[in-house]
Amino acid sequence: MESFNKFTGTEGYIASSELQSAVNVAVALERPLLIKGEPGTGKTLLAHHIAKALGQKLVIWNVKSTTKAREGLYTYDTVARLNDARFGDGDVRDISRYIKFGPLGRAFAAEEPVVLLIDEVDKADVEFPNDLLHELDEMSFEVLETGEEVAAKKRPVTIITSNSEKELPDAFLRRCVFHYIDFPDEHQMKQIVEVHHPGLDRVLMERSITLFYQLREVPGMRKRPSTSELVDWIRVLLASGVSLPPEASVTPESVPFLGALVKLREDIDTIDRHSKPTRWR
Amino acid sequence: MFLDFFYALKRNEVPVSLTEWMTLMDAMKQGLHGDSLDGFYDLARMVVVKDVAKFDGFDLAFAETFKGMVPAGATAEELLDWLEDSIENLHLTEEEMEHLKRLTPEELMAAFEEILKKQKERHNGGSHWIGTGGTSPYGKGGSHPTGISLGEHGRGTAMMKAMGRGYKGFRSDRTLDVRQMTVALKKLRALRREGEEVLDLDETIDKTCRDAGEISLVFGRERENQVRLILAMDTGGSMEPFRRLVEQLFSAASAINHFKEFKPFYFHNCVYENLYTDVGEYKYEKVDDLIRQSSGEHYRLVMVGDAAMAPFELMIPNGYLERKRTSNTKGIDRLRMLAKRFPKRVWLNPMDEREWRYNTTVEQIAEIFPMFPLTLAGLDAAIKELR
Repeated sequence: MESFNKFTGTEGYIASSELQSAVNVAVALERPLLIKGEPGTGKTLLAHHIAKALGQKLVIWNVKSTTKAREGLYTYDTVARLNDARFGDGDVRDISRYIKFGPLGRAFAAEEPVVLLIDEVDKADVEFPNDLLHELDEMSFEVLETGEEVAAKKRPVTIITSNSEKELPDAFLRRCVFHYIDFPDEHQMKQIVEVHHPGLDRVLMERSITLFYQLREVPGMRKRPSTSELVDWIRVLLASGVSLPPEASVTPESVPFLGALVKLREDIDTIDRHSKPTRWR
Repeated sequence: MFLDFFYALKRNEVPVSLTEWMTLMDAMKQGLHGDSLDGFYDLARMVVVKDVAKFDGFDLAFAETFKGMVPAGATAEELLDWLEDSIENLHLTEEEMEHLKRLTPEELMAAFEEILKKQKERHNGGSHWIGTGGTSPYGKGGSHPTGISLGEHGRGTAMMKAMGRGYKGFRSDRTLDVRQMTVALKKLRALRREGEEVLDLDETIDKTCRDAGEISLVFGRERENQVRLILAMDTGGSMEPFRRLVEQLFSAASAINHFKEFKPFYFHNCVYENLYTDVGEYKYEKVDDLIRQSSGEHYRLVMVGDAAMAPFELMIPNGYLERKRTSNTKGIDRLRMLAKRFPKRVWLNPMDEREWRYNTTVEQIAEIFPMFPLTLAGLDAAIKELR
């Protein structure tokens, strides 16, 4: 139990109590923690701060649409070996010189326990998570070319993020601890903004957050502004020195630097349409 | 009690596997639930439920199972009625907090039963009775540190019941999920070496050996899928019950990024002069244009619809008044034109196969398009037909 409750958030990251216990349960059970949630709720950032809180190194694997499971383990640079064989550079009989570990391989081989982040696992092919089942279960793999077994001395704390672009296979889900990051409410949002802009003027804080949530409430938005966009927007407001009116209505004209919050042309149109009916007299 | 919870989850269609259940038991042994009902709620949910859509079902099962702890005298509704009132903010002293913290969940529960037996009427702001805004650990909106929230679970229950009813209708024919569709659609491919240049390792080694160790790199091309998929979906009207299923097929097909070309279209009832690219804004492409442009052996046409309509909508000119039409071609003739152009074609019908024969138009269309039910087996068979 003394190892439990290790993670309570950090100075730079506000974690809800559910999220904290999800992290701690995943650590205690030695299971991967699967994190889902709206874009901009700090899924990726979480891993950075877990690493910081636990005082461990972070190994990141950014998954792309072309990523193959094998690349996470290791790659075998055959061309370099062929080249060395021809031009006699070094000992070509030693295959291990041409094996390069991927992020998963590095995390397993590390002397110290690490935090492993597999970011946006849903980007890759549908079969990708299945190909990793064994490796994530056993936290070990074999380098086929050398017969070397790479096993984690201490199981890495594994954080997996997903944007739900594709559904993940059941077998994969069964092995994970799952947490859905809810969009922060106004109270939490104030804490988050405070972390990013310490000592922010109370009035600006109140008004910007009120306006932000009003914007999010506009029906029919394709992409609602997220936390990171709010933080950026406040930075722009601070830099420009523009003050927000006390009772701002949400129209494209009344919100300064709307472009920092709303990125799609059609969403700006939606806001415009939405603001119209309140104007007729 | 825990086994009850397991079956309550199953009943509420939360998919729990034994692996997950054992993990939960293991976690409980390690004391990860922090010896509290709240902690157990969090722990059980994160280990057992892997889909936000199932959170409600979990809430329902949780309420169902642990409702047994509340004596039979009071129903959930009665409790809720008591609790529905506005909540006053309470400021507890340090001492009071300390006292409340000392109670274990078991003691809380036992005390809870006692109080319930005594309680005869609504009570607000006290420190002993169940009500709103009290310091009593029972009830809604109280400030007890290990208190039990009654209101939320109650509401979750009602919400889930409402939702459950809404989905029941097409639960039985929803045999496919997006993932299964994606896996099935992936089988639709005609690979050809046309992609990026990559090193062909086997050939390189072979050639290098033949050249007595003189390195000769051999490059080949990556294999690339040649299939161009045209997916046309019937929307609205009698297709409304299958909306979710069809949307899933659509998202599966558009998400896999697997085809050389992917063109989704919508139609209503039957294909007439135009195929729509956007239902709401009436953007369309003329069927004639599509037929003209889609030449080549790699095109595959997949129609999705119930093929059920009034016979005149299929069989006579002007049978269906489409906007902006300029010709009188019968629906069935349009289908024949498409059939002629696309030798590799299928029609996926979301309707139960046993009901097909009650619609004459289904049979007529099935003569032109090989028709398959929109189930996993049907989709697999359709993909075979398309290959």
